[in-house]
Amino acid sequence: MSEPMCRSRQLTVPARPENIDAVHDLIASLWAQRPELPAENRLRFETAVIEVANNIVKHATARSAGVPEVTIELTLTATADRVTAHFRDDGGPADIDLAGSRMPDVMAEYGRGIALTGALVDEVIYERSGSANIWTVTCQRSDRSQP
Amino acid sequence: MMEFPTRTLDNGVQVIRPVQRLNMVAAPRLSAAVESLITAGHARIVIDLSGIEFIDSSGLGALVSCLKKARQAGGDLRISGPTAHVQTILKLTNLDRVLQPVPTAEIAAAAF
Repeated sequence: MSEPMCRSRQLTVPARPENIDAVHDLIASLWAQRPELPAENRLRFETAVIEVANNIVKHATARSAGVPEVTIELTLTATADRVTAHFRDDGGPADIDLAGSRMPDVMAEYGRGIALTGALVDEVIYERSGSANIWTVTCQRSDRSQP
Repeated sequence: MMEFPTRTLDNGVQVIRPVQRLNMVAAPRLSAAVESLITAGHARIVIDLSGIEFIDSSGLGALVSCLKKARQAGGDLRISGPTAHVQTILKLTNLDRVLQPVPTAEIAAAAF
């Protein structure tokens, strides 16, 4: 039998701290559909996705004068060999240097999120598209050989 | 009222045990709980992470903040019982250099 092609889950919420749990719940619902995904991949993906969501929430108010409330649209997609998170938000442009992000001093209380995200998954992309921020987080299954 | 279960070991060390997720919602609460222990005169603290299934950079920041506050008050802070995934996160962020995890709160407390 062929493998199910693709599973996806979608969520639209205001960019508020209390909605981070809804992102965790959406990820859990994706795992319920794809129980075969290795645990280490799940945890790495979940952590990276939450870091991006944190970043959007933390900076939503500061950067977004003129927008009454920033909205996050999140789509999670699982295929046979990878899981992907696609974020779109209508906040102001993110001042992010993905390539140049480094882990801060060990005694720093802030500033690990982006560097940690990059260390956890295979690919993190940020782009500004019109008046929206687009984030894509991709994690390949570690138990599948690459083509 | 304490939001996280806390116990006192024989040598006076306080053990606080957050559970489930240490994220941007729970992290400030943990910092506040540890701060109230320190204010009450308890600056030797173990954070028992055995019930934590998920930690992000907010949670890591709270651990560092708690460590600094305990040291400023003349005490110290240790962590115990992290899952394999939490250990991975500590390693990736180099935090295992300043917060070296041990298996149990009792082992952590014995080293004070």
